[in-house]
Amino acid sequence: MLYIISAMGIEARAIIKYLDLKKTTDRPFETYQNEEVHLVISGVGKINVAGATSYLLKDTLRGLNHSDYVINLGICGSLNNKFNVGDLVLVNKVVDYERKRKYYTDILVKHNLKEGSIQSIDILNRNYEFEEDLVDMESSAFFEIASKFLFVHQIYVVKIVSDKVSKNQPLERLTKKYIDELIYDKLEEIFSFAKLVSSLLKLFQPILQQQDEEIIEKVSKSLKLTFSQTKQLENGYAYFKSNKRINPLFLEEYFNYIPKSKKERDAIFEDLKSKLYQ
Amino acid sequence: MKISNQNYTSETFSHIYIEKDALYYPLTNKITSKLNKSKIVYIDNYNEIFSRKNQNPFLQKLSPSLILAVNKGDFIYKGSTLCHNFEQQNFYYTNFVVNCLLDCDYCYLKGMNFSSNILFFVNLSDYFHELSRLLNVIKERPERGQGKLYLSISYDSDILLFEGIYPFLKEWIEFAEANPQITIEIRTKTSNYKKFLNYSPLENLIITWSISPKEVIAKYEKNTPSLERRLMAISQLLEKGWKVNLALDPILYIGENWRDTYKEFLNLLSVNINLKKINAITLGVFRIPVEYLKRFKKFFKSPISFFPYDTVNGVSSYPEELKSKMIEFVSSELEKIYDKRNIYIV
Ligand code: SF4
Repeated sequence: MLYIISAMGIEARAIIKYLDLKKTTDRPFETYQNEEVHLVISGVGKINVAGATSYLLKDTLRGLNHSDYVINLGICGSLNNKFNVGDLVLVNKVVDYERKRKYYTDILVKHNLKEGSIQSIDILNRNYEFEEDLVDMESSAFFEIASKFLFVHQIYVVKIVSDKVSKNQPLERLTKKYIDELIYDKLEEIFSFAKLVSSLLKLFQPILQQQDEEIIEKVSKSLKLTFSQTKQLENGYAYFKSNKRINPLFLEEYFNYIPKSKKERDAIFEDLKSKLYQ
Repeated sequence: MKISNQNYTSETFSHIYIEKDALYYPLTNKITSKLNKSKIVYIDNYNEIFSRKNQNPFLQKLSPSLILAVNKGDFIYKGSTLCHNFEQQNFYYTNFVVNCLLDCDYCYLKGMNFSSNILFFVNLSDYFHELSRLLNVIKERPERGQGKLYLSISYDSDILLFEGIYPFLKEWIEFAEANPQITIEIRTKTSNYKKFLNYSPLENLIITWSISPKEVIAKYEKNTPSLERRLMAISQLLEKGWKVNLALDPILYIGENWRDTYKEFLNLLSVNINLKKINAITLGVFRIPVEYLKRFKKFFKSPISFFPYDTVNGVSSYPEELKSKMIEFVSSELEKIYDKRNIYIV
C-alpha cells in the first residue's frame, strides 16, 4: 500500500484526480483512497502532519507491512541556487530547524530524480538561517512519526519547488491554479519513482507469511503445544522453508490430531521437529 | 562494484554520507574523487546513519551506501574470546572499515550492526599513534607476552575489497616493517593477492584466508570468490614467500553428509596448495552471540538463522555432541595432511 500525505487540499487535488481516488472521510482528516493508495490531507504545519501521519499509518502496525511505503508530497521553497522553481526533488536529508534533529531516508532504488536536503520550520515569516537546500513546514514531523511505524527505506519526502526564498523578502502568494499545475506536471515522474520503490519492497518478504502463521497456529492448537513448543515449531518451520525452499506441507497431517496425553504430545512433537530439521 | 543484478536498485555507493569533520582529511577527497558519480550527503556524526534503529540491513545489502567518518572513540580493542589468539597474551583487533560488500549468511556483522552500509574511518594516522603508544606500554612490561602484539586489522570487514578506493595497505605494511614487535593479520575471502606483490614479504604480516567447501560457498557465501580462485591466490603468495594462515571457520553443518563434503574439501586443499608452507590453520564451528542471532531471524532468510542451536553463556552454536563430532572429524582428517602442532581449534 502507498500512503500519501499532503499538507494542503490544493497540493492533493491533482493527485486525487490522477489516481482516481475516492473520498472516504472528512474527519479527523480529509482522506481519499483506492485499492492501492491512501491519501490524507493533513493541514499545514508540524503538529498537523504528525497527527495525520499517525492516523494514516495506524493500521500498518498490525499485520504485514513490508511492502507499505509513505510519501510526504507537496511544495516547498528553495533556499539556494541548486534548485529552481518547478524542480522535483527527492529529499535525502530532513532537518528539524527548531529542534536540530536530522532524519535520512534510505534511497535504495535507482532513480533519475534530483536529490537535496530540506529544513522544516515552524513559522515561515521570520528570519531563519538557510542551512539546507529547501524549506517547508512539515517534513521533519512527518519523518519522525512515520519512522515509528515503518523502516527508513519505506519513508520518502518528495517536494516540488514552488518559489525561491530570499532573506528578508516577503513571501510570494501562490495561486491555487499555479500550485495545481506545478504538481500535475510532475505526477508521472513521481509515480514511476513510486513504482520502483514498490518493486524493491516486494523483494523483502519475511520467511513466515500469513498462511505459514496460520498453519503453525493450527498445528499448535490441535497438538495443544506449549508456548515454548510453538516457538520451536515456528523456528523449525522457518528452517525447513529456508533450507528446502518449499513449505512443510506434511504439517497438514497434524491438523486434526489430538494427543491423548502430554507424553504423547511431546513424543509427536519431537518426531515432527526431526522431520522439519531433516 | 555492482552487487545486485536487479535493475531497479541503485549502484553500490550511490550515496556517500560524510561527517563534517571528515572533510578535513585528504583521504576523504581521494575517496570522493574516485567515486565521483555518488551523491553526497553531509552528516554530523556517522551514527545518525549507521546506528539508526529502523533500518533493514537485508535490503541495504542490495545497495549499500558509504559513510566517511572520523573515529573519535577507541582504536584498538582486546581480542574476543570467540576468536583464536594463537596463544598470544597481547591479542588485539582494530577496525578502520566496518561492514563488507560480500554477503555470507553466517556473518556476525549482520547481527552486530544495525546497518549494512559501509563505514570508513578516514583518520588512519590516529590508529598508528595509538598503536605506537600501546607498543611502548607493552615494551615496558615484557613479562606480558614477551613485548609482542598481535593485531588483526580486518575483523569487521573484508578490507581487501576496498584497497582500490581506500589505499590502506601501503601504510600498514610500512608500519609493520618499522615495528617488528607487532604482528599484523589480514583476514580475507577475496582473491586480491596482486597488491601484495608490490612489496617484499614480511615476517610479521600474515594473510589469513577463510576457505570453505564449494557447496558452502555456493549456498552461504554470496558474492565471494570461488574456492579455486582463493586457492590460486594463496599459492601465488606462498610462492613469493608471504606468510599465509588458513581459517576453516566457520565449519558448518550442511546436512547429513557433511563428513564427505569436508573430506573432499581437505583433499582439494592438499592437491592445490603446498600445505607445508602454510603457517597455521584454525578450525572452528559456527558460533554467534544469541542477540545477533535474533536479528538474523528477523531479517535474513537463510537456514543458518533457524538451526536449533544451543546457547551457552550468551553464545549460540551447535549442540555440544554435534560440535565435538565436527571438530574431531575435521581436525583428525586435517592431521593426516598437515602438521598437528600448527592446528589451532577455536
Ligand atoms: S567475507 Fe567476512 S566480513 Fe564479509 S560478509 Fe563474509 S563473513 Fe562477513
